[in-house]
Amino acid sequence: MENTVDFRAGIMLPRPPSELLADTTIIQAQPPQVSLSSSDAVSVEVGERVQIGTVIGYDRGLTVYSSVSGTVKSIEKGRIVIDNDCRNDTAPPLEYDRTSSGGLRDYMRKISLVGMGGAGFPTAKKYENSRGIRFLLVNGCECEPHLSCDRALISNLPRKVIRGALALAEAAGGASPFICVKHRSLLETLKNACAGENIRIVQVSKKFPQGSEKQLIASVLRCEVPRFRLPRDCGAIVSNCATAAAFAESLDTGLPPVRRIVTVAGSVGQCANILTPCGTAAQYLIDLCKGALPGSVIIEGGAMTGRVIDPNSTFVSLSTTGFIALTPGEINESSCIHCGGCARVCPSGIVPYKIDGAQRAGDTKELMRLCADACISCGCCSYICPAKRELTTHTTEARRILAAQREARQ
Amino acid sequence: MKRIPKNVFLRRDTGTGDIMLWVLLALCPSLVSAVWYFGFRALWLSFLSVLVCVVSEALWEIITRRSITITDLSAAVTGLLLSLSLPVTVPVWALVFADVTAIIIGKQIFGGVGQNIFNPALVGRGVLLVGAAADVISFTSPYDGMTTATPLTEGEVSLSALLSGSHGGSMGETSAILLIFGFGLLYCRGIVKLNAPLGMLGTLAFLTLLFGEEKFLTGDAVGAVLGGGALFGAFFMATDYSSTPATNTGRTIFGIGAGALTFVIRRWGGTAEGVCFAILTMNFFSPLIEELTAPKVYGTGGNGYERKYKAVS
Repeated sequence: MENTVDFRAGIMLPRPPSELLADTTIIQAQPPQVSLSSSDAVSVEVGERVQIGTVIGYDRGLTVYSSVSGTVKSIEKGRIVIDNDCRNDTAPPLEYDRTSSGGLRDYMRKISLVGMGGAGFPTAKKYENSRGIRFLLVNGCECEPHLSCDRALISNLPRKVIRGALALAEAAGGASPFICVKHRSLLETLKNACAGENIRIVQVSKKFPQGSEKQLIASVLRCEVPRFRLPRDCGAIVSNCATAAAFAESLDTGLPPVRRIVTVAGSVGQCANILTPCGTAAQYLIDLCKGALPGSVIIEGGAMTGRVIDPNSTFVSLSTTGFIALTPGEINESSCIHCGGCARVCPSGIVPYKIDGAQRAGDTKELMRLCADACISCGCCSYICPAKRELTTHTTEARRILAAQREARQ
Repeated sequence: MKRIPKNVFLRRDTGTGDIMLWVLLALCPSLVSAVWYFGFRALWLSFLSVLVCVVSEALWEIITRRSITITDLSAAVTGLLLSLSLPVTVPVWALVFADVTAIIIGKQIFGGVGQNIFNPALVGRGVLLVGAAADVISFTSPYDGMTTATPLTEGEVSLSALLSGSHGGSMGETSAILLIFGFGLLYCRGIVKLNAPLGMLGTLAFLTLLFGEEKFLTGDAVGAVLGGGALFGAFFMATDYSSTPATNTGRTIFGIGAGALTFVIRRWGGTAEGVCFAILTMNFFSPLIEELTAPKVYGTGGNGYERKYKAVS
């Protein structure tokens, strides 16, 4: 019996056939050009030479750094396209103050670190107020069945994850760090790589959605994030292991994080974990993996929580975890048969079929009573539903309505 | 209309139709025992019942201009359940009447599958029991075709007869072994849970043992569970999705309530058989039970996680 910790409800997803999964080998990609989003301001001109780490613009309050060395090819519609000369010249390293947690937080802001688990929340904002933070959970659970980028990262670079976790814990004002993984092998790897550091490695369940922030806190810390509140109310901050590793690397090199490991899996010629600069087109990575099966759709993120994208106009960002080629089975939405499956699997403890009904009827009061705001959009209800109803779509929409209503009231 | 999902691209294979097909398969052993003991009239009645249910569902949906849902097989399940819960001597007109009542009054006027408060098959059966009791309650002996009583009224039926089904009763409810086998299929497929059936049968046995006879603790618990329609009702009616609570705790409460009511009706009520009205009564309370046993919402406390700041070592 493995000594794992667990959360309420959730589902054990079947493991996809191994030919649809990537192994932990990391391939390096060198795309001919990258396209970076820079919607607020642009600080380079067409034809200018840039290096890895050159400031090229500002995007939603964050500094944008070039992810390759080369020349700026075009600037249009808030996107900067840079031709890669593959020489990997780097800009002069950034300065930082390692001695205080405030210094580390300033550095986080300077390098525009964002959460690399998928949501892309600015890390500096998350660590802004470190008062009362006692635990730092580094999330290496990766519960989406097709993704293995975090697994590849931990098994290849366990030291970097550990150093990153320690640095993040320091930035959080001396919280005690935990690294949470779901595979025994990763647990061993990390334990062997720990050189007596004060860090705890926890093995968590293989259930979905173990990688969700709230479920991870419930599993490891045995407490619930109160409704309408943030993890910090449990005294915890959760960061992805890729964020930790990127932070560690940034501290080493003085360069901002501009590349990440992306899983390309599903019905592609050769599944792989690819270390690639930000701004790489999804199509380039898929071609690198010998192309997707005709008729399949490309999903960014995992098959449960991801969304369909156009691979030609989607580019890797720091929060891109993977591109999955899938041929989803066609479904036919029919009447709810009241089996209760959705309520049984819901990790938030809400009753999706009732929320679905109330949302379709536009009954906002009922949505509030049913606590639709607690939905984490994990997709368990849609997965289990025998009537193939779009429960996740409607609960997510219900949550959005309630959030808008709350905002309007404040 | 088939299309690819908007989100959540992994979906479980099992659909509504698969679930209903498994219920039909699980009823097949009982259908075999019905034919074995009561002759081919049982098969023909069951076939007719399924046909009438499916046709009346289709007709209703055509008239009300809804999408046709007969392919989800829920109407077929209702038809088979209804025929198996009636004695083989039931007149054809009564069966057809019960079928139409079950589908239209029991199911469609509530809005179709999943929306009905009461179990459709039991609605059909209940209406017959109340309205045409003399035609329905004349149970048949498997051997001479003579009208006989069920073990509940007659008593003195051997345990082997109760298990194999060679005694009077409704078509599908006599053979305990085959009912258990069919239910086992459903249970192994994960389609039904044990909560409601065990709650119901346990309560019925317990109460019968205690208060079944004038003298305390001398009741015939085995006969009560195996003799009448208790097994059939507990396995196939008390596990109906639509008309029972969706939560596990709710289903246990539902089962206990149905078992207790069955006992009360049998012991002190006007009829020997109480399963039908016990389950119908509990159906009525299902939405309330479900509401009261709703899961705790994450972040509101009480999900068994210890309070704040207690980390694993």
